[in-house]
Amino acid sequence: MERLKAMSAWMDQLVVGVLVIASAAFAGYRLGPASMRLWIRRQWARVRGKPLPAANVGAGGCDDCPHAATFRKRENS
Amino acid sequence: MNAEAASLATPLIALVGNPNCGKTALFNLLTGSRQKVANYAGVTVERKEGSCYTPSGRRVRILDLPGAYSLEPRTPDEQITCDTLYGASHLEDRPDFVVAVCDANNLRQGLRLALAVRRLGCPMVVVLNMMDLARKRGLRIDVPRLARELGVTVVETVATRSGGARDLTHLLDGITAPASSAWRAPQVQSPADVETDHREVQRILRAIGADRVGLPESTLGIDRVVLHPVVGPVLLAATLFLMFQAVFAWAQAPMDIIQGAVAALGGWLTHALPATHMRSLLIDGVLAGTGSVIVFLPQIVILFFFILLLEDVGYLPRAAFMLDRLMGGVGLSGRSFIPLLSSFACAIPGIMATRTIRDPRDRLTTIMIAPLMTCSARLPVYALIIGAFIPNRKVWGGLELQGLVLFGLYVLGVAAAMLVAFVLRLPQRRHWHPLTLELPAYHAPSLRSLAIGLWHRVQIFLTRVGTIILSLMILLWFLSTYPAPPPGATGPAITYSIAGHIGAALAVVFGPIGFNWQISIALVPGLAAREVAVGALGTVYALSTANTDVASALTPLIGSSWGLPTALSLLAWYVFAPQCLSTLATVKRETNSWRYPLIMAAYLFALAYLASFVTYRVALAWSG
Repeated sequence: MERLKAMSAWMDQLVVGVLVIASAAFAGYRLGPASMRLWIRRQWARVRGKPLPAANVGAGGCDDCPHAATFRKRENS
Repeated sequence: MNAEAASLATPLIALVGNPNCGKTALFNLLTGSRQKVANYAGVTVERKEGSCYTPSGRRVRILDLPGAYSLEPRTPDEQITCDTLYGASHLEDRPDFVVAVCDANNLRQGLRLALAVRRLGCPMVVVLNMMDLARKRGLRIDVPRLARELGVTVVETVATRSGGARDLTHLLDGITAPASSAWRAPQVQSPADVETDHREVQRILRAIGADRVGLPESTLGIDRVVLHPVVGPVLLAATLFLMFQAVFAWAQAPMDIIQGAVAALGGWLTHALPATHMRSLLIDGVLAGTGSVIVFLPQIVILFFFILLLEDVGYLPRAAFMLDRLMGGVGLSGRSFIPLLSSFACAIPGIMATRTIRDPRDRLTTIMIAPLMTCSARLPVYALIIGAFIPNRKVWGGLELQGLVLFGLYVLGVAAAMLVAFVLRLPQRRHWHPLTLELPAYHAPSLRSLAIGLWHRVQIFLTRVGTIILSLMILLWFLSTYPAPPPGATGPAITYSIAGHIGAALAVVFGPIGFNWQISIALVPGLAAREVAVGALGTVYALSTANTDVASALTPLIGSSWGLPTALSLLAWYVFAPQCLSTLATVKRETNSWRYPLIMAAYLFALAYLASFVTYRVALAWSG
């Protein structure tokens, strides 16, 4: 019983540790420099044999954010 | 045929048209919910692609290209449209068929673009949209004659009505599979073409009897009131004021439901899980953090409902027109209005939109003041503090006091931006050039477009909560939990953690403006995105107290643990401080220099600290 409890505590810490590390990696990816994100996306595309993505302008986790078009209005002067 | 080959064989139809011609409404009508919205790589321009089934059950891909006035690109949006049509885009396949959408009420401009597209030699159809409005105005457009004059098929649509694009979908049935290779080499438009197009449009309009078309009488009548030099601005202020009233008055019931659901989930997890690290992570980290933010979804939906509604009926360009003089008064050009308006959603697209400003000093000034516009990410912070400290009661004959304060905060942001612009432009004042805008006719809003627009906003918000906010909350939970308190410790465990030590160090800096260590901690992850600060407060307070129900009760908790001076000071801080690193990164890229983002960060932090200090001290003195 004691051994089961110890194993359960160990598993608890392992799962939480994995979640924390994965979150740190994800936050680092989203908030990191755009050049780093592009490099990662290109490596991932290479692994999957897909076309390499072009440079994206999104800064600090704002890639693909459609907020941009919310108020897009056109001037005509 | 495998799936990829089948996808390649599906014809790609591009919708091309002027801004405000109803192109996106037509796209929404054709594709319904079968659409994907993203950004074009390289520019902050929205890319919308969807699919549509023709009456015979055939699937076609529909691409909603950014609005353009000509095929001579002057903005990033027009560049994408032109590159795609010329087949020069490395991001987009050349379309197999082009649908040139023209507003039947503004044929002159629409036909100019349609003629430019026709010259490319691509298979195309001209769509006369908003035909219902045109008929109401008594416009008689000889459609068969127009088709003969243009030499292409012309169909009528009413994009805001179900079944309003039936003729178009029947026509799309007959499109052959990818035939873009049959296009002839695209030609670059020369100035002579523009002149020729202009004459050709005049000739066609005369031929079809539509050469004397202006705005409908009803629109002109409404504009006499809405654009009146005195009544207009009052009406604009009243409209915005009512919008903020509604944000608080209508959101309470759905907010209570979400809050109840979060509390119920927290209670269930507490009883279902044993007291482990995992339970603490789920309840104090994930639920307390994301639950505190997600509760503000109804307020964001209401705010965007009004903004999309005003945009849809054609009021926003009028607002730009009215505020142009104010912009001129502080030394900015009217062109700055659109980027600043965009900044109310998020400063990043606003800063990107400054590319349309030709004067470099105007552009730089607009970039520097864009973060002062109240972006939607600040709304959860404002709503949290207002909900906790401003009594929910009516004043001045039925006005919501909370809505009044929120309105005041938005006005304060605009006033601060105008003041900063005035100061920045003092060394070099210049003559004001009025803004010229195409004012569309007023029309009834399309419920379908409104619903789709709102759904996109909900998706954006939930995606942020489920990705960046969730990951930061897990990290914050870790920093707030470890290291564990030493044996015999008497204070809350968080005070012995890494985050507790960081908070204590920051509290020295922020103490003079009334921020406690919990607020100081929340400001750090708030640098990633402003609304993260709310989630961070939820997590920090969840770990600071023994109350397990804290995940759902942040508002009353801060209401009882902060004083009013601290709350007002934090509001003042959020009006000015550049908490968002993404904005600074965008400024660096747009100005190609570290100098301006550093200047921006310094002046905004200084302004925020000063405003919070004055607010806190005055409030302290006032409250005795």
